[in-house]
Amino acid sequence: MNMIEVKQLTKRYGDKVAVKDLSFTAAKGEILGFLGPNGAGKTSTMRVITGFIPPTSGTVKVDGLDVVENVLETRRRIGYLPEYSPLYPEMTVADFLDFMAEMKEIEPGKKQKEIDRVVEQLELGPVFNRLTGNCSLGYRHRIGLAHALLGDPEILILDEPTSGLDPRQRIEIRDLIRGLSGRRTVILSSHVLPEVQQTCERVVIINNGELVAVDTPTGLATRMKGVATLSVTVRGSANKAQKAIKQIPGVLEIDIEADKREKNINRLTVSASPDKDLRELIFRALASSDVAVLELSAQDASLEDVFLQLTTEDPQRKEVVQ
Amino acid sequence: MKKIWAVTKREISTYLYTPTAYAVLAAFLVISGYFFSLSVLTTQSASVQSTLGNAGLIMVFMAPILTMRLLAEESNLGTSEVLFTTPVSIGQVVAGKFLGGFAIITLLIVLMMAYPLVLDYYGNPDWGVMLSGYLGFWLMAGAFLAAGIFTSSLTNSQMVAGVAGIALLMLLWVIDWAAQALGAPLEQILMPLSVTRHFADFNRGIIDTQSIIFYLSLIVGFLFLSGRVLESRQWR
Repeated sequence: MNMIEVKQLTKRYGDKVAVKDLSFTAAKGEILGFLGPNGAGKTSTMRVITGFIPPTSGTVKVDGLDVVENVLETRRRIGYLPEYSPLYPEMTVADFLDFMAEMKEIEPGKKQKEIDRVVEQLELGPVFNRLTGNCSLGYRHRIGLAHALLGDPEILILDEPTSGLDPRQRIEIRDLIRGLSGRRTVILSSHVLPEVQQTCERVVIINNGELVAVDTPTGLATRMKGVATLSVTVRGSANKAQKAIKQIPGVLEIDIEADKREKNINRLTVSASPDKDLRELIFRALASSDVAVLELSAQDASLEDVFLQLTTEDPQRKEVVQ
Repeated sequence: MKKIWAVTKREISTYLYTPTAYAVLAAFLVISGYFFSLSVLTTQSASVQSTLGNAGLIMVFMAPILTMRLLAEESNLGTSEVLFTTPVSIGQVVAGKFLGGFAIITLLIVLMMAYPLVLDYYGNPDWGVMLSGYLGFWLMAGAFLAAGIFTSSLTNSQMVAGVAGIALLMLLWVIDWAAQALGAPLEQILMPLSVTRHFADFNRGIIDTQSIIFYLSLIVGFLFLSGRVLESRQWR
C-alpha cells in the first residue's frame, strides 16, 4: 500500500521551475532516500508533501488523501523536520515540545508522556530546560527530530536530517531512522550518499526538478554496470600478467599501473563483460603464469558514482546508466 | 480554540521573556504619565480625556513595535515551516498572535488605570466618561495591533514591518485632516473611516455601536488580510 503518491508534480516559483512532472511513490513502512544536488527540487517536493506549499500542478496523496483538499488531515499523519531545523530561540526545549504537542493535537492527558518518550528517544534530557537558541547544532537537530516524532506520526519527512552533525551524531541519527523502519514511512533527503545507501531501501534521484532514477541502491549500482571492473594487484612481471589475463574470454581491456612505493608490484584494472564473474579464471591464469596474486576484487559502482553520473550534464556519462 | 490559545500563550511568554514588551510598556507609561501630569496640573480638572487623546498618538508608534516581530520573525527564522506543517490553520495562528499582543495591550490599560484612581483620590471625576474613554482606547489599540500584524505579514524584516506599520497608522490617524482638506464629497466618504473621530466619541463618554463595529471591523479586516497575505506567500 502506498502511503505517499506523487503524480506528475510540478512546482513553479514565478518563471523558475523547481519541480517538473515528478512522479514516485513510497510504500507503508518504507525508507525512501531523496537525492539530488542543491537546487534539484528536493525541499520543494517535501514542502508540497507536507502541505506547506501547494503544487502548481499534479497531485500528491498522503495515505490516499489529496494534500491540497485535505491539508490539515494529511498534516496530522506527517512528522516533518525542515532543513536546518528552525526553532524558536527564546523558548526552552521543554516549552517548545509542549507547544508543538499542542499544535499536533496531542491530548492533554497524553502530552507529558509523549514528550518524555521523545526526550528519552533523542536523549534531550541534558538540555530539556535550556533555551533552544543556546543549544548546539547537534541538539537542535535532535530537537527538530523530537518534534517530528511527537504524536507518533505514520509518516516522517526529514530534510537533510544529518547536515552539520559530527560523525558520531550522524551515526546516532542514522541508527534512529533505521530503527523506525517497518513501522513508519520515512522520506529523507541527504547529501551524504553512504548514509542513504546504508539507511534507505529505495532511492529517488532528481536533478533540475526532474526524476532521473528510482531504484534500490544496489539496483542503481547494478544498472550502472555496463562494464564490470576488476582490480588485480600482483607481484611479478606486468607483461606476463597482462598476457595471461588477456587470453580469458570476456576480458575487454587491461590498464597497468606500477606501484610507486614497492618494486615489482603492479596494479591491473581489468574491464570485462558484466555477465560472468571472471575472478576465479583470472586467479588461475595468473597462478599458472607464475605471477603471485596479492589482491583480487570486483569493483562495485557506488551510489556516489551513480549520483554523479545521473546529475552531471555529460550525456555520455548518463547513457551508461540509462 | 485550543490551538489559538496555545499560540496566544506562546506569544505572551515571548513578550515577557524578551525586552521589547517591557520597553514599550515603560516608554508608554512614562510618556503618557508625563501628559497626564501636565494635563492635570495645567487644567486642574479631574479628566483623562486629554491624556487618552495623547496616548492614542503614542500608540501609533508603540503598537507596530509590539507587532513587528509576530509574523515577520516566523518567516525570517523559518519557523513558519515548522508551524504550518502541523494541523493548524493560518487563521488560528493569526488570531492567536493577535490575542497575544492584545493581552499585552490589556495589561498596559490595566496599568494606565492608575490615572483615574489618582483623580478619584484627589477629586471627583466622572467614571462613566473615563471608562468609556478607556474602552475606546482599548478598541483602537486592538485595531492598531491588527494593522501592525498586517504589515508584519508582508515582509521577513521586523524593521520594515515596524516602519510600514507606523506609516499605515499615521495615515489612519490623519485621515480626518485629509477629509477636511478635501471637502465634500470625499469628506463624507473619508470621515467615517477616521480612527480619531470614533475615538473622540468614546473619549466624550459616548459609546456608539457604530464606533464599536468600526473598530471590530478594522480588527477583523486587517487580520483577514494578514491571513490572505500568508496564504498568497505560500503560492508564490
